[in-house]
Amino acid sequence: MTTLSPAPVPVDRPVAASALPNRSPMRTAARAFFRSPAALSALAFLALLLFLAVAAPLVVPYDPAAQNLANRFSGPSAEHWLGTDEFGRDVLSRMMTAAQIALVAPLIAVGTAAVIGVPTALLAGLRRGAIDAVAGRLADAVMSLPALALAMAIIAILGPGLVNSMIAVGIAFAPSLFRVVRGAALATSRETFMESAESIGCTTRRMVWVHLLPNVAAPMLVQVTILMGVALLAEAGLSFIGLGVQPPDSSWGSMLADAYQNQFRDPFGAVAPGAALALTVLCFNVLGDTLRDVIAAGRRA
Amino acid sequence: MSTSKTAGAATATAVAPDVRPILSVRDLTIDYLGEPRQPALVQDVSFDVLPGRSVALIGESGCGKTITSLAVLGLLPARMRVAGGSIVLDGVDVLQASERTLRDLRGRTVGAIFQEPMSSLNPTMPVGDQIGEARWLHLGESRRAARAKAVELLDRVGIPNAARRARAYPHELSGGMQQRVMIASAIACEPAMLLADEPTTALDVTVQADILALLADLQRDLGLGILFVTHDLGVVAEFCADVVVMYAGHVVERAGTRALFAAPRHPYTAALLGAVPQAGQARTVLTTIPGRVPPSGAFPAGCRFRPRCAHAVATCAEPQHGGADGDHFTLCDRVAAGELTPRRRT
Amino acid sequence: MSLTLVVRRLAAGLVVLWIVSVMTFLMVRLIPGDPARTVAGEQATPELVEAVRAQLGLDQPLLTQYLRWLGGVLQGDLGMSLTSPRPVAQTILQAAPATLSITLVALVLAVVLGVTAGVVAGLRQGTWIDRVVSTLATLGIAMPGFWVAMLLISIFAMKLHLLPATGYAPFSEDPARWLQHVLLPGAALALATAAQIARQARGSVADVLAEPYVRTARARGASGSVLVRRHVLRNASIPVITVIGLQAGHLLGGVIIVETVAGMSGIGTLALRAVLDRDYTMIQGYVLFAAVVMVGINLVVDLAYQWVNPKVRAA
Repeated sequence: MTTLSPAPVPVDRPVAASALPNRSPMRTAARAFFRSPAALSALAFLALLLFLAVAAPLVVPYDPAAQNLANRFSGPSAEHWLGTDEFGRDVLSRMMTAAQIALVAPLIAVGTAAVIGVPTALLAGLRRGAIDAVAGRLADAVMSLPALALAMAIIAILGPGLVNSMIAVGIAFAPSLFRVVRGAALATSRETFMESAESIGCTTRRMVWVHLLPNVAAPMLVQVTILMGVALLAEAGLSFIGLGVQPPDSSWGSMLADAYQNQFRDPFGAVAPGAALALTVLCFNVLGDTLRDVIAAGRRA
Repeated sequence: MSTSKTAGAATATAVAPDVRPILSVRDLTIDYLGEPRQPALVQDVSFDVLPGRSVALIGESGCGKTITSLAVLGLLPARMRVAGGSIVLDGVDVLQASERTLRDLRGRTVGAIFQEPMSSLNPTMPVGDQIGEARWLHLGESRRAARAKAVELLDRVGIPNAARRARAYPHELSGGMQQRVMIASAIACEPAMLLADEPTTALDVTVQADILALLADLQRDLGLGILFVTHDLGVVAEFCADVVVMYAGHVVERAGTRALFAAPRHPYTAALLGAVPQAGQARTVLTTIPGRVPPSGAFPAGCRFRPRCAHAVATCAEPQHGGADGDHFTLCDRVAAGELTPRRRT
Repeated sequence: MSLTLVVRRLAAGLVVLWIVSVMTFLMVRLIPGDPARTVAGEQATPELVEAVRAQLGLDQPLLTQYLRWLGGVLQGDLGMSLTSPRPVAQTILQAAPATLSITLVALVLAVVLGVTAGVVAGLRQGTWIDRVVSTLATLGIAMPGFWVAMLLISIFAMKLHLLPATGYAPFSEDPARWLQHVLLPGAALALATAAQIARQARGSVADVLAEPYVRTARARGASGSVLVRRHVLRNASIPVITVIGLQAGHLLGGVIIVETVAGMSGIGTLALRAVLDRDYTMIQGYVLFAAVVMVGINLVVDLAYQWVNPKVRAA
C-alpha cells in the first residue's frame, strides 16, 4: 500500500514496457528504489545513525557521562544544543551515544526472530506435513499473545537487561517472520521450476539455497525492515519501564524514563529522545514500504 | 439472428431517416491527460445505434473500444477527458449533461454489462438486491417491490429457482448464471439501449451461445438497441447488423455486417478477417497480422495501422480522410481513391 | 451466520488457549537451574526452598503437575503470589478494570478515527486531505505510544489543566471522572492503531473504487452515498477488520507502558513488579489473562469478518 496515490494505469492499454530494454525484476526494483526521495532520505538518516553508532565517542561535543551539577536542566543553549539533564550531562552527547543501542537492540531482536523463524519457515513451506502443522500452531499460539506481554514473561525467566530483553522481543516476533517466509516459501515451492528441480534430483539443501532463498528474500527483507522499527519501539518501551537497558548505559527509551521522572522540573525533556525514536522508526517504515512497493512493481514490469 | 438482410449503414444519413437513433456518436475524441502530451486515445469516432438493432465495435484490445463505451456512460477514468465531438443518448447530450442527468440515464435509458461477470458483481450483496437496485433508484419502487421484480427478472433471463437464487451471492453462481444476473440487472428498468462490453469473452463456448440467444431474445422483446463491444468476429457475424472496426483509436471501417464480411475495404479489416478460420473452407491459409497494436503514447501519425500494413506507402503518413462507398466507410485514402482493393486473403 | 461456525471459531480459540496454557506452565520449568531455589532466593534456607518446591508442585511428575495446575486454572485458581500473600486471580481481576478501560477507549477511538480518516482519504485520493491523512498516518505509526502519552499529559493535564494527569476512577462510581482519567492515555495508545487502520482503510477504499463492480453500480445509476454505503464500505471493511484484529495485541502490549505513564496501577504495573520480583505465578496468571482477552477480541473480530464477507460465511 502506498501512502500517495499512484497514477492509475489507463484501462485497455498495455503498460508501456516495450520502450524499455528488458530488465530483471530486481534491477527494475533497485532503480525504482533509488529514484524515491523518501527512501533515500530514510537511508541517509539511518546511515547517519550508523556513523554515530561507530564514531560517537569521537564526535560527541561532550563526554556523555560527565556530570556538572551546577548546570542542571539548562535548556537549549549555544553550548548545549539540547540542554542538560538532571546531572548536568549534555543531552545531545547522550543521544548521539545512544544511537548505537538504537541500531544494535533491533538487530538483536530481529536476528533472534530470524534464527528461530526463518529455518523453521523454510522447512515448513518446503516439506509441509507435520512440521508445518506443529510450527503453524505454535506460531498461532505465540501470536495470540500481545508481543510485549510475552516478552515480559520471557524477561522474567532470562532476567532484565538489553540483550535479554531483545532476545525476548525476538522470540515474540519470530512468528510474524515465520508466517511471511513460510507463505513465500510455500508459494515458491508450488511453482513449476521447483517441481522440475525436484524431478531432476536436487537435494533439499540445494533447493533451499539455490531456488527458494532468492524468491523468499524479497518479502523477508520487507518484513525485517518493518520489524526493525517495531523492535526499536519495543526496546524503548521495555527500557522505559526498566526491563531493557540498565544504568550506566542509556538508550532513548531510558532517557524518556529519566524525562518522565523529571517532568515537573523539565517538561520538555521528553521531546528530543522521543522525536529521535519516532524519526528512526519512521525511516525503517518508509524503507520497508518503499521496498514493498518497488518489489511489487518490479514483479509487474 | 439479426432481422435485417440489407445491412443499413449506421451513419448520419441512415437508411431509415424516420427512425431516430437511440445513440449517436459524432467525431468523438478522447485525450489522455498527462505529460508528455499523447496522441488522442480515441479520435473522430462516429457511429449510430438504432432501436432494435445491434452495432458491433470491434478491434484488438487496446483499440479504444471500451473507452468509447465508457464515454457513452459518462464514466471515463479520471485521467481521460473528452476533447471533442458529441455523444447524444436518447436526445440528451451526454458531454454537456449534469452529473444528475447522467445518473438518471445510467441504468434507466442505457443498461450495461461487462466482460467479467464475477468481478462485475458486488461480492457482498445478494444478486437480487443488485438487480433491484436500479428499480428503486430510478422508478422510486420500494425495496420490497424491487426485490420481487428482481425475482421476475431472474426468471426472465432463464435462471431456474429464481426466488431462491435472488438471495444468493455472486460466488455461489456459475459464470453463465452470473452473466445472466448482469443482464437482468441491466434490463431492470427496461432501458432503450444496452451496452455490452465483451459479454461472452470470459465464458465457455456453449454458455456463450446461450447468452447470445438470450440477448437476441431480449432485443426482440424490448426493442433494445445494442452496442456490442467485442473482438470476436464470430459473434459479430451472428449477432450484429452493423460493424464499426476500430484500430488504435480510429474508426478504420464502418459498414453493414454482410457488406463488410463480403468485401472488407480497409487493409486492417481484411487482415483481421484473414486471421479467422472459415467454416466450409478447409485447408485455407490463415494469415496473421505482424506486430501488435502500439501503446497509446506511441501511435504513429497519419494512418495508425501503417507500420503493420502490407500496402503502406509514404502518403499513408498524412492524415487520412477516407471515403464512403454508399454506407460503406473506410478511413484508408488509398482505398477510397481506388488505388487499392484489399483482399481477404493474400 | 451459522451457529456451527461460531462453535468452530470458539473451539479454535480454546485450542489456542490450551497451547498457551502448556507454554505458560512449561515456562516456570524452563527457568535455568533449580526453579525453587531461584524463586526462594539465594539466601533461602533449605527448608524454605523445599516449601517453595512443594508450593510450586515441583516435587510431582510433570504431567501430574500440569493436570493439577490446569484443574486449578479451570476453576479460576491461578495460585498464590510468590511474593505476597495474595491469590493471583483476585489480584489480576482487581487491577484489570483500569487497564481494560484504557484499551477499550483506545480501541474505540482508533476504529472511529482510523476508519473515518481512511475512508475520506480513500474517497478523495490525490487531494490535500488525502495527503494530510497519509502523512499523519505514516507519522502516527512511528510514534511510541507512551511518549505520546507523556506529551499529551504534559500539555492537557499539566499545562492546560483540562484533564487529570494521573490516577483512575472506576466507571461504576463516576462515569464522567472515569472518562476524564482514561481519555488521555486512551488517545495516546490509540494513535498508532488509528494510523494503521487509516492506512488500511484508505488502501481498501481505493482498491474497491477500482473494482469492476463499482463501475457496474455506477453504470446502474448508483452514485454518492448509495454507491459508498452499498458498494464501497462493506467490501472495503473486510481487510480493515483483519487489521483491527492484528492491532489488538499491539494495544494490549502498549497499554502496559502507557498506564505506567498515566500513573494507574493496572495490570501492567502488576506484571512489571512480578517480572522484577520473579513472581512466576503472577506472571503465569498475567500471560493467561492476556491470552484470554486476545482470544476473546479475535473471536469477535472473526465473527465480524464472517458477517461482512459472505464467501467465508458460506464455507
